[in-house]
Amino acid sequence: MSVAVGQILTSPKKLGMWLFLVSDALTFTTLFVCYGYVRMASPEWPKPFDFSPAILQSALMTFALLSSSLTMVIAVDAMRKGERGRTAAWIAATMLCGAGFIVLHATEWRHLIAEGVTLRANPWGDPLFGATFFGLTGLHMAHVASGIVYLGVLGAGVRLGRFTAEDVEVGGLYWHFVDLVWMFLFPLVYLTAVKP
Amino acid sequence: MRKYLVVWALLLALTAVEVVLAYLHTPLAVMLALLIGLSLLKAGAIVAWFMHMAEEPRGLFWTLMPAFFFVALILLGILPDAGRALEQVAP
Repeated sequence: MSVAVGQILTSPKKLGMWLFLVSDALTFTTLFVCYGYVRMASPEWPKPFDFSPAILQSALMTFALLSSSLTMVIAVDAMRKGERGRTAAWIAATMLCGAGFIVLHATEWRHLIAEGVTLRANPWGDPLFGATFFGLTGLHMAHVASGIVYLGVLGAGVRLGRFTAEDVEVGGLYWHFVDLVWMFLFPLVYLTAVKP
Repeated sequence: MRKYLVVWALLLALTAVEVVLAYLHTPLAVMLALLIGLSLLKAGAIVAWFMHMAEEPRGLFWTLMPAFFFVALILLGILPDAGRALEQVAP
């Protein structure tokens, strides 16, 4: 049975990860739709992001995540060729980019919190800005953080001779998905709220 | 390997276009449509090449994407209500 499924679709592991990612994508879609609803229904939505540092920094974060996706596909490629040492090194590079993303994002959160943005209030306008911003970016950051843990387990296992090329690819699927979500977060949360 | 570098460069270029777009004074509807369009394009590139969907059997795509599309469509159904909420808030 599993052979037949493999021929029609793909391997069971990959299918499992894909099914999870689709349901996770719907979680994010729900949050995005709520954000859109709240924003459309609010007359004075804050536009607090200066070009420097907020937009520059979030553009740098986009660069970090996109580059981490590149290092991840290189890792998957290396594992397909059976080069475990190189695979583990590229997975480590991916984790480093992810960690860079989290550090940059955490600094930004701290700036906003210092400026008085909370879940219920902010100094500029409609109070729900904070709830949508921290909710969306927070759920995404949680995904990045758990992705780093996932990749850490994967990389260590690869180095110890465990896991197959497919396992690395399935881990890659998760990581690319986290990157994919940011492709919507960056324009819809930051670029539509640049300071006029 | 070169394919992945090209996709990476393309994604970075599209991101740069989005940033420039945010600073052009385009009408809101046009800007939103362009930003969402570009984001969908980037997501498609990630799914097709980074996530290897292009190499998978077609059955995988047809198992996943229609379901996602229609559920997302149902979610979008609540958006028009936001306009009504705005009217009620206005003094």
